[in-house]
Amino acid sequence: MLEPEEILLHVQKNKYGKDMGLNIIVCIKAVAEGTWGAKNTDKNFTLNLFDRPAIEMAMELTKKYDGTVTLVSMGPESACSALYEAMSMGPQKAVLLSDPLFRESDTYATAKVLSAAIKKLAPFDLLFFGTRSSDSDTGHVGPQTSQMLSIPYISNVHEMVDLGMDKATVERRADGFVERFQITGPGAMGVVHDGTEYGYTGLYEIENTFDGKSIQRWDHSDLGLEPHEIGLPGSPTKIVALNPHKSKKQCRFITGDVAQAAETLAQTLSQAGLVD
Amino acid sequence: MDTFLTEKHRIVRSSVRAFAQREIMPISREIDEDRRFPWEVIEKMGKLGYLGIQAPRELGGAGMDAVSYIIIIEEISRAAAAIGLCASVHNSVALYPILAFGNALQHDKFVPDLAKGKKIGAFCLTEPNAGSDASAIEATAIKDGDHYIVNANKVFVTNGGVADICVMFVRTDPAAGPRGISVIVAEKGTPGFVVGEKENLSGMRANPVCSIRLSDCKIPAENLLAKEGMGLKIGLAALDTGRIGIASQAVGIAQAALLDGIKYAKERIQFKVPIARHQSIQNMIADMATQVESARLMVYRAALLKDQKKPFSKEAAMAKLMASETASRVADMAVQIHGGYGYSKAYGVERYYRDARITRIYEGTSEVHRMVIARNILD
Repeated sequence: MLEPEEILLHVQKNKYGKDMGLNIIVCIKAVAEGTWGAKNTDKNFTLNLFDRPAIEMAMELTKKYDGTVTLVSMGPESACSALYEAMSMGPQKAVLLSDPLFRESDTYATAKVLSAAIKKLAPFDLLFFGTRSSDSDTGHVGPQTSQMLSIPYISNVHEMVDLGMDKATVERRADGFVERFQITGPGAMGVVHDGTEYGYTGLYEIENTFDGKSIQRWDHSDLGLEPHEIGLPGSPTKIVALNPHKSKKQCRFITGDVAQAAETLAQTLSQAGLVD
Repeated sequence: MDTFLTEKHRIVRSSVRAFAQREIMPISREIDEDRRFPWEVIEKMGKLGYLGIQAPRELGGAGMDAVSYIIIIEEISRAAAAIGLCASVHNSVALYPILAFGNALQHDKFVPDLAKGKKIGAFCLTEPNAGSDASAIEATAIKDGDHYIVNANKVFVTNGGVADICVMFVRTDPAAGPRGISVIVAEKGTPGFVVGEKENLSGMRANPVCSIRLSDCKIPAENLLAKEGMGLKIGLAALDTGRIGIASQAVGIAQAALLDGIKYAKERIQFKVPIARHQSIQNMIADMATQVESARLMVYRAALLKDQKKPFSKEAAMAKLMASETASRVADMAVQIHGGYGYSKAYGVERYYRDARITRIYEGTSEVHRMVIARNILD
């Protein structure tokens, strides 16, 4: 839990009376290139695709309001490639939480490590996550980390509507509704893509990333964590079995007159609830 | 391959790959069939820095190294070789000679627009009677006060139909033989600068390869690169760099053919099993993969040598020879794996087969490359 003095209000003045700007932390994950179940070989790590919107939103906000974006990721040394990839999108700072003792952490132990790092990085205004990871797809880490920090978490946020002195107004889509929330800082959210055009990282930005920016590294002792809290010993979830699963496919051919067949197809899709 | 790459190179690769797969791959078939130059993609490439990869940052370029350059050309060529060709020629044989041999005035005049992709560059050497024998060019530039009067008939100009800035090889001293050749920068729009019809080529159809004719074209003397008579030296230096680009383009085509071959071999069922289970297909896949890897290694080596400022002429020639011959062979095997479908425009391998063929001809034929390599070894 954060102490009251660690809670930052947006554009709060520091003790010298100067604007501090926004301080946003984005948690990202390095995933193995390829599909789910791909081998976690040490070389082919890439940035989890679902983390990109969170970084993009953080960058937009700091461009608008000024401030710093700090990336945090837990993973082996080779996860640096994902951090560099994320840094090439603009964030100024990056921390890799790397320690052999973190190995085989489940989402709970991961959240423990992340929350310890975030406390160390406090004060901050906003904490962003992607909605889920492309390799394990749980979507747990964001909510769990926020819970451990005792800060509010809003999922599926696609837009930051307003950012005031001490509150943020955000929108999320859920079940055909658009919900609008207001939270007091600091707050956490899972950010989804807002549907705008996909942004690519240009060569200039990549060159800038490697121009003096470096990745900080913290292990369990830097975070004040005990070995029993993290890794396999600190993980309440155990994977008992992992088997490939093939979903059953049903195929029905619609034949006959084209107009009639189109009508039947439309009816079938509508009855299955796939189209309105 | 990853062993040779730094973290930065990997990031370059993943970002260019994402761009090429999302923005270029979906239109690669259409632009080939319609012979369309996709301006919408080229503009984006310019904004991302792909058209000024090695140009210094103070002149609007990305200021990257040769290894980044070949990674970018390979990834773009994997999606559409004709676009990879545009980028390779623009970066290496158009922009590079101006950077390497131009003065500060010429840098300021030409480089920023080229590096940002606001203008497209071309390299005009080949003429109807001068191909491999560059010293046989007939184009002339006769000094007239502070201008040159240029007459030239250049053919097979890559990017020709869209080029704004042309690195033009001319004879400033018709009596001096090879020492009378110079390079002058000709700009589209100059009276007498005429672009011919698009060539109806077998491959690289999305690239507007044209002839360019200059008739009594008055070009300012300040557009001359270096000094009179330096033409062949500039040409050879540009082609050394160009070779690495074309070699990586060939690796990109070969990589695309390899991946399509693997995919199809796993899907196509004959004799009740995927054809990838048949040993003859396995042999082809093994040969293709091995050849692609060895070609890529050679291209990386040439680029690394260039970055280390060591001589790389022989290595670049070897890489271009190896990669272009590999692209032809691998595309041929990919067509074979696809059987009758491989001969149809419904599958990409038919295009790779056509695109691969020219890599053994342009920017120095395989035969000329063997000559360059032998000369390097025997001298």
